[in-house]
This record gives sequence, C-alpha cells and structure tokens, in this order.
Amino acid sequence: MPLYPPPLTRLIQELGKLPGIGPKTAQRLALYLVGRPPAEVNALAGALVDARSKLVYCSRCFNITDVDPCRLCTDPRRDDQVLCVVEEPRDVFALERTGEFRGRYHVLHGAISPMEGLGPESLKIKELLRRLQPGTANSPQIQEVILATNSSVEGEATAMYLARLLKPLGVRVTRIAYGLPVGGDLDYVDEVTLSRALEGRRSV
Amino acid sequence: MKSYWTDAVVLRSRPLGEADRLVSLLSDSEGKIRATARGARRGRSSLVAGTQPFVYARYQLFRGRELDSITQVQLVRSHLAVRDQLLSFALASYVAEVVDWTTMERQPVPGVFRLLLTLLAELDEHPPRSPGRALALESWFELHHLGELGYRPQLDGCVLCHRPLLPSAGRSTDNSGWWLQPAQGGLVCSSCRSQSPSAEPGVLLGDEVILCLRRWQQEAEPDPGAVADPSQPAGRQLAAALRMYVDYYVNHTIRSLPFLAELMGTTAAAGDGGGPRASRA
Repeated sequence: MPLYPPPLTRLIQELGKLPGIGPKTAQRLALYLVGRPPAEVNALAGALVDARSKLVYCSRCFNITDVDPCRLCTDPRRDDQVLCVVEEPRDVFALERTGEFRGRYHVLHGAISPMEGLGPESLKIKELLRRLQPGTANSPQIQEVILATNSSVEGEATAMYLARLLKPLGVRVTRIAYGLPVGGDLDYVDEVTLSRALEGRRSV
Repeated sequence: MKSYWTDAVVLRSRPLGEADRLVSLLSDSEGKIRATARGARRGRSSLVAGTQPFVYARYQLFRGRELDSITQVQLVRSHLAVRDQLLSFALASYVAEVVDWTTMERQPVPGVFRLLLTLLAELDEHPPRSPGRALALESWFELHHLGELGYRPQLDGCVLCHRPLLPSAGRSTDNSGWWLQPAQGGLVCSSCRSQSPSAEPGVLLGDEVILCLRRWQQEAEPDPGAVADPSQPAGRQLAAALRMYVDYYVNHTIRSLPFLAELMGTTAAAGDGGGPRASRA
C-alpha cells in the first residue's frame, strides 16, 4: 500500500527535483503546500507557469527577460560604451542592486571549468565577440569591457581567457577589484584575499 | 576520533546546494578524501580560500558516514600564481583530474602527494612561458605519476623479446625503431610489433624522446625545475605517448584535456588513433 496518496507522492517527487531539495525537505514543502488555502496554492502554480512560459534569454545580453531585447539593453539612459561581463543572470541582479553600474551587460552562462568539461565553447563567448565587432548594430560603441566573473579559480581563468581574446580588438579590458569585505576585520580575512587586496592597493 | 587534522591539496571543488562546496582532497596521510565545506561559497566564510582548487592547506575534518566535513582550514600555500596564468591553470586542472581518477579514497599515496605538490610549486614559482615548456612539464609529471602508481614503463629494451636498447641511443640494433605500448608495459621493438599486428598500435618514439624518458626515470629526486624542454617534434611525441599511456590506465575521458590541448596547440586525442581504445588491464 502506498505511503502517500498519489497526488501527494507526485508533488513530493516534483519538488524533490529542485536543486538543494532533498526527500525530507520535499516532503515538508509538499505537506505545507497542501495545508495552504487553495487561492495561495493557485497563485504559486500560476507564477510557476507564467515565469516558465514568458521568460526567455535576451538575444543581446543573454540575461533572463520577458521582452526581447531586455529592458537593460534598450534603456537609453544606460552607457553604451561600457559592457560588464558576468557569469550568471543572478550576477546582473547583484550588480543592479548596487545602483552603481550604468552600462550594459553580457551574461556568459557559466565559467571555464576544464574538470567539469566546460570549455570556452560552452559559454556565450562567440556572442560577446560578435557584440564587439565594429559596426555591429547591437552595441557599436563599446570602449571598455569589465570582466566581473567570480573570484573563484574558474572565474579567474575565464577572465584571463577573455582578456586574451578581447585585448587585440582594441577595447579597454578591466577586471573588478578584489579586497576586504566592508566592515570586516583584517584579522579574520584569509591570506589569499589579503594578498590580492595588497596587490590591488591604491593611493588615497 | 571523529575529528582529525590532515595536510592536503584540493584536487576538485564544486558547488553544492545553496552556499556549500563539495571538495576532493588529496591528503598525505589519508589518501583521497571527499568532504563538504558548509558555507564555503559565502564571501565571509573562513573556508572560502581553503576550498579553491590547487590550494595546499592543513584541514580539520569531521568524519561522516559518506562524506567528511571541513570545519577549519589553515592555508599552507595557496599557489596563487597558478590561477594567474592560463597555461598553468589548464595544466594544474589536467594533473589534478588525472590524480583524482587514479587515486582511491582512504588509500594514502605519499609519492603522488609529493609529486603533485612539487609540480604545483613549480607552476607557482616558474609559470610555463611557452606551450613547449608546459608540454614538457605535463609529460614529466605523467611519467613520474605512472611510476608512483606502479605502472612505470619499461624503457630498457623490448618487453617482449628482451632485446636491449643501446644505452646512448633510441634505435634498436636493426635501426627500425621502438614503440611504446601501454598494454605491454613499455617499449616494443619493430619485429615483435610486426609479429602481433592485432595488438594496440602504440606510439613510435624517436631517439630524443626515448633518451628524455630514460633521463627522467633516472632522476633520484623528481625535479621539474631541471626538466629541459625537448624540441617541438619530440615534445609532441612525448605528449602523444604519455597521454596514451595515462589514458590506458585511467580508462576514463579526462575532461580537462581538450582545454589544455587547445592552449598547447596539440591534439587532445590520446595515442596515434590507430585503433580502438584498449580496456583497462
């Protein structure tokens, strides 16, 4: 005899496919959901279906969007001369939260990770090069490319690989700085971060 | 004791869940260890730096049923320069992956541990400035690594007919060349090879390559700093022969090889492609 009614089993199975959700958590979430008012559950189901059916990747920057090209690519107030290259769409949201960057973006959808079988061909690098070709309608005036990949080993390798490809194109290629977390004690910072922070010191 | 300290090198590190990492360590005393590092992807975690690939550190781990968990890290050497140069990064990735596939959990391999540390230190202090140098270091590592695992190729003569190889040259007495065949465990002379046409093709080695391999094998203490770069054709032949040899014993696709080969301008295919890949002996 099955442990759960079939609809509950199916819900647990589907939730268990989500990243970071194990069988116990899937069961807890499923039991929570079936205990909520129908309107609340319908709203969640509707949001899931809506998001999946309406969201696409922007054909210019490859960020997640509901209109193509995305609003970040078509906003006339943004600076066309500066392009920020990030690994994932969530990095765009992180940078936008700072309110400091007003240029355009390009999402690579990953980083070079040879051991995981992710080479340059797995990323949106060809598309980035296309955007930098002179006379391209998308972004004809890019002067600077900011490499804002993660400071992990894979992110560093991706930045180095891109720098090698982009420098001959005559654009200014920069890398985001490394350093101490704001409000952090020097004593608690690891040696690698501290070494990088010393390397990247600046005049005050 | 559930909690223990060990010196180890990070072979591989991949994201796990929301902010954790799953790490493969090669320890001097414990062999390969798979461990989780909770919160290691959060910027302020004290585990961030110690869970990056190629880092050499002292780890405190807590034994788990399947996976251990890292609770503290004291960096010994971050090998920071390996991250700053593409060739070094690609070579270190390849080497770490080969070590990951050829070592067993909880089976200490102190020779492999020392060899890996030696190569990482060389890449950290003297990053290869040319693909030829990287190729030489790769082949040097592969030859010594095979030896540490007990698969040292026999290079003194034909492993089938026992005809000796002249000490100062790579040519056989009939001057027809020598082939490196992993399934046979070393060099095979042309006549033995022609008598067993169904065997794996192997790689034909020139004089310079055989002498280079024999010189490396005779090193009392493996020293990558003393490795002289072979000529370009010899370097490529060395790479083809040893990649084929490693491929035979790893018996698994090394995923980091295509990227390394792209940077080195070599082919990622192991061996000369003359026949089907041999299965593990």
